[in-house]
Amino acid sequence: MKAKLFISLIFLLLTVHSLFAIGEGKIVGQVLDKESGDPLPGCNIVVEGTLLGASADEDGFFIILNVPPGTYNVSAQMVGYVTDMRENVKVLSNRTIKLNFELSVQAIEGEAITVEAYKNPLVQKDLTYKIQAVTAEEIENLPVTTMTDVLVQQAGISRNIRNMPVSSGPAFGQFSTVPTDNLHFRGGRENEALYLFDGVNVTDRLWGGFSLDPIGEYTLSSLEAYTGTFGAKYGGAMSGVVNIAAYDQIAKLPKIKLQAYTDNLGIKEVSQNTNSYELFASVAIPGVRNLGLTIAHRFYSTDGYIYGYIYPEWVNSEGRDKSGEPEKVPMQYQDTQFTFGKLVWKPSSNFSATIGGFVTKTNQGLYDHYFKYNPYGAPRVNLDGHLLYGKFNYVFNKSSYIWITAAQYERGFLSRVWDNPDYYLVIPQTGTAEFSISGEDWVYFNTNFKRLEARADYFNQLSKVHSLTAGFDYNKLNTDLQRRNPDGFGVLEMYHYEPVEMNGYISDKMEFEDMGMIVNVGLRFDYIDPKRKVLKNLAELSQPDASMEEAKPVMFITPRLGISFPIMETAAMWFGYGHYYQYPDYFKVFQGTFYAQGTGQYRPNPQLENTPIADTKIEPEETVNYEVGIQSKITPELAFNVTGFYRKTSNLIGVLLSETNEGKRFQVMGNIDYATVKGLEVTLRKNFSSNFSFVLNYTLSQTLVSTSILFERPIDEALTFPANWDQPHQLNGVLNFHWNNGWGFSLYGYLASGTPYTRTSFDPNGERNPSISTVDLNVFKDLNFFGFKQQIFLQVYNLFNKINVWWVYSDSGIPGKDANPATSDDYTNNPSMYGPGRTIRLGIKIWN
Amino acid sequence: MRKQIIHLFMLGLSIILIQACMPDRMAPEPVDINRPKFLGFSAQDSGAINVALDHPVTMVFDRKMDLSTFPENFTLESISGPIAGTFKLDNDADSVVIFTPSANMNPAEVYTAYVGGGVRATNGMSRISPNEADIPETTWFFTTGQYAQNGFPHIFVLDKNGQEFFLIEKIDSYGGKTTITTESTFGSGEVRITPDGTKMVIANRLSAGTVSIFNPQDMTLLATVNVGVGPEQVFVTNERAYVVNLSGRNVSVIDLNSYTELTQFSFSDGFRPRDIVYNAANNKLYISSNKIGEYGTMRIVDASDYTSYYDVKNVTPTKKKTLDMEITSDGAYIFIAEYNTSALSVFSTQADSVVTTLDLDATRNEDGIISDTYYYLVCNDGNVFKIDIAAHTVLMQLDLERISAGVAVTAADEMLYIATPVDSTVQIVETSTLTRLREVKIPGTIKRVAASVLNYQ
Repeated sequence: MKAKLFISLIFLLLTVHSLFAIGEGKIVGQVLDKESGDPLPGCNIVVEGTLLGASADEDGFFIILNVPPGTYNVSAQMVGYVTDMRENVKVLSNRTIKLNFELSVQAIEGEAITVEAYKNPLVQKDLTYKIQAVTAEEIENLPVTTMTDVLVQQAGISRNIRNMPVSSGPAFGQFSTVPTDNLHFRGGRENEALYLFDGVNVTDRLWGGFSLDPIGEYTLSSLEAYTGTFGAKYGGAMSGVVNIAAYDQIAKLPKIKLQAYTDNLGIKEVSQNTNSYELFASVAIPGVRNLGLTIAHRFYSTDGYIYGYIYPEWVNSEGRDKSGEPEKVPMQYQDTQFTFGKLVWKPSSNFSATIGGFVTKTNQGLYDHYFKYNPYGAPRVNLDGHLLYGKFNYVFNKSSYIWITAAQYERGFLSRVWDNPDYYLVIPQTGTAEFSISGEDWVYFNTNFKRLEARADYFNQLSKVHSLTAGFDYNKLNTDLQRRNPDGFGVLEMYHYEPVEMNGYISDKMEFEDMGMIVNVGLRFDYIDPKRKVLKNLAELSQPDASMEEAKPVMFITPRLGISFPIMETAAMWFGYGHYYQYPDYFKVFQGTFYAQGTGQYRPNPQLENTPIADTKIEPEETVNYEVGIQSKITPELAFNVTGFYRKTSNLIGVLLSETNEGKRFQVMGNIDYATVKGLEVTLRKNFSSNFSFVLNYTLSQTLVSTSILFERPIDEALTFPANWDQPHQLNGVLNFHWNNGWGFSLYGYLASGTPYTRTSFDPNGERNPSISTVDLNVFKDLNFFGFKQQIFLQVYNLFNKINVWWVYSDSGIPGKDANPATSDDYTNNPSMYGPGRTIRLGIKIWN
Repeated sequence: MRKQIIHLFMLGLSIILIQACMPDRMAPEPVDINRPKFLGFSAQDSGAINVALDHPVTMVFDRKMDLSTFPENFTLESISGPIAGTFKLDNDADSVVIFTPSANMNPAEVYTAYVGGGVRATNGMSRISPNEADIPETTWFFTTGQYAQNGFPHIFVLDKNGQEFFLIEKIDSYGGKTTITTESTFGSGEVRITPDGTKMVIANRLSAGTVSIFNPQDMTLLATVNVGVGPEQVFVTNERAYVVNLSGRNVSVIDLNSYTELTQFSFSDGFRPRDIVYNAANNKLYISSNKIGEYGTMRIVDASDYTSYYDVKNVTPTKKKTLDMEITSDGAYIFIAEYNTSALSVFSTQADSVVTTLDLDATRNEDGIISDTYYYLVCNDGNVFKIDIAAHTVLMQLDLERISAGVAVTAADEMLYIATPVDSTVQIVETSTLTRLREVKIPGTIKRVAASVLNYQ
């Protein structure tokens, strides 16, 4: 450990003189006289719609720092020359955009500017780890509903598929409704990614996951996903970073956008009773210089595709009579609201302040087949989150600036059947061997997570080669959790802890223009104090007054390195390496704790059955990432990108058995599991030209784990097998056509291997569920009436109505029927084994 | 500026409208799914008698009931069929359901109420699972009839020794006893009440031989009339009482106006009278034989001068003595119960011959009584038979499952009173369905029973 620390410090010292970029992007380039080729010192380069800009130096070079991610028009202006403008310049976080201008001498006074559409380079030579980004304009025409839909269109990111019945989940499904991010980044477990909104951490550290899924497309400016060896600024994540930039511009004229769609078109077969509305307005506040307000709101509601049924005589006949017309109750519904507001004030070119935030509400159901005929007995989930943040930017000089950020993020999770505890006593829990008759599920979670964050990020472009970034982040967390047994409402778990997390980083981005080589190097330090007391000896679990001690804080230093260098004029190669630590989600760290009345302490609950107790010492989980990639242009509009990666993860949280001093066996949650992932990603991208563009991603990967399920004990510690989410082959692509007459369409296709399942315990996850595929279509027509722009669109999800099979019965190998002759077809034909069928939505957008 | 404010206002308004669209996914408030328990009918519905014809049936449950489920699962019916009605919840307790008949029930009928397992509480749960056999909750009551008009009949129960009789009033209330004689008797003789209901004649089987005449209204002794030796069987009209004196082997004729014995006649051929009935239609007396070797012989006598017309032999099915003879109100038939058997014959006074014999499935006959429509025969083993007097067929049978003796029927043919000496009770049985309504305990040994023709408060 000491050697590791020493090497890291040396590395830091070697690089401390260098300079780096932070969350914003930068635009660099050179301005020349078109005729003579001479530099044009003093030429002004302006990012339109912002206060950002720079003057060219004596060699014509310029650097515009601190450019928020987004799409801009950038112009070079100089007296006596025709202004030269580049349209639709896409700026991404931590990335350098190169723009070279050649200005013509103005022959006639007042000669018009020249305008040229900027083509984003297909080969990004400063790429030292895989970045995939989509802008608001690109998302607009995609057939997507949620942010997750956008993310899973990126290479290496896949949606978690629930491939087992809910009631088979941990503690009889009690943990099935807990929120996760529901995503796997390059074969990692769920919740291994960091989620940032306008640079503010919005990751729920209690449960993992985030609150941004219902975000509207109008709120977004850009969405970036880093799946590889991302830089030192980002920590607390082993597999990926999702960086969402919200709309940030101050509109000189009010901007209004409206969007609505529905699948209630009178065709039951293609409807899930889905409705969505989104509103957006951005105005400059009069009377204050450069003060802009943006407000957006999105409402989305769907019944989902799985229903429960209440037959009139079901309860009265004790689960035998299914006659009569049943009441149809949506069980996989989701209702969300997302409200966003942002006040941006840029009084001068060297100072800006932003106050923003969002409020989000999600109500959702989770289908549990056992409650098919007692659907109101299944739990309902509320996820309410909000973010309030202030960001202040001060530019010291043309090469350095600082960002100060203060934020409060909060997320509540409530999973229950009734809000009133007394209601749990009203109806007895009765059921047959297959279905519930009456009563409710044994689930009650009421939790709240809060983060108070203060951070500072400093940037200095020390030279054309070195840009330094350094930062410090302090987080005070609040974690409240109640888990109860609804039958009697007794406490299973209950705690309130206030962990503290701090981190600092320093990194240098070296851009060797002459060699074309880019080096990103950095070092990160993390300190985490869970602020909890633990038993001195867990074997004394059964003793109500066993002595306790403060858990020791954990600290770790992680190096990051990324190198990119050109191998041809149109090709570059990169290499990345990094250590990534992630302290486990706090529900694992505090697992099994309750408030002991006797001692007045939070301590492990010795009465817990079926769920484990957190170990006294929880270490961070660790992943070592290796990544090598090559990107190359094939034609001026077509390029490919091939990335190979290898990830080795250890110290994953898992469950093992232990014994108290009295000989009672219990489960312990600790750092015992491990995993390896290796894979290859191939991306083929065509820029928009000749009315179309496309992106094609193929991922070949293998994920081997020692356990797949958090609460499951390893079969054999020495054995790894394919993870439950392992899908060796994944192919997806987006094809986008847009003609000048306003017609267009986009097509999203996905084809992947099925997830594995275990037929025999001698060969864990040795069999495969059927492959999964879908095609989604969005057809649209742009219009222009009454001074507004309109678009009418028709979205068809699952165009070919392919019924995907999420999972099969391990004994029969098929869905819908197991090998047990005693089970009824109604029971074995669990609708959650299958994906949704075709749905058709019709919508309209209006904007100015 | 103004335009921007309008834009913001419109946006805010839209957000408020959209917020209101959020669907409510919460489960409806939980409702207790326990099945309703039936706690009972009201006391007025449980074996009650003299129940008003518009009487409502009250059912008590442990929770509020869904009235819409009652029409299909509740029945109130008598032998005449079901009766329609409406259901409502009691104003004071919503777990009480009241059924009110839409029309008056029939008088003097046993009505039985059935509450099926399919009645549901307001929580939707039925009283019993549909998977179980539906065994309804039941009760019955007896509607008021003529027996209750201007009071109730008096029921007289003679003790075994014939020394006293007991009164049952108001249907089932013991009303005390009256001494007939203090002398030792040879058992209880016949008791009959005149058709106009004004007099009750009791044969006293004394060695001296008397007949006691009481006022059925107040049990006062109107007169004691001397008759022959061993009076036992009596037949009465409004004016006359014909008394068979077994030991004297003659018949006394008593004037019930003057309370004097008008005459005493016997038979010179040695015929020994045993039982007697008078047929007003032809002014003849029908007297059965008590002479050994002539059992089953019926002598027909002119009631004007008491001369014999002729004898009809073999009027009893097995040539045994008669136990009891009852004549129909039109005088067409005499129902003859045979002594010491359970056989019965029907004697036609038109044809002067037996037209039907019935061998009943019971032990020996004990007593018979006739109304305008039916003849009732009580056997020693407790079997009670209801026989149609026109068709001469058994319509119903009731087994009281105890040794029985005398029987009486109320004037309107609504109730039978049957003495069961073994437990010193009188069983009250309604006549429509031969349903046993209840019993009255009598403090003494009992034998014969008579019912007043008139009703008394």
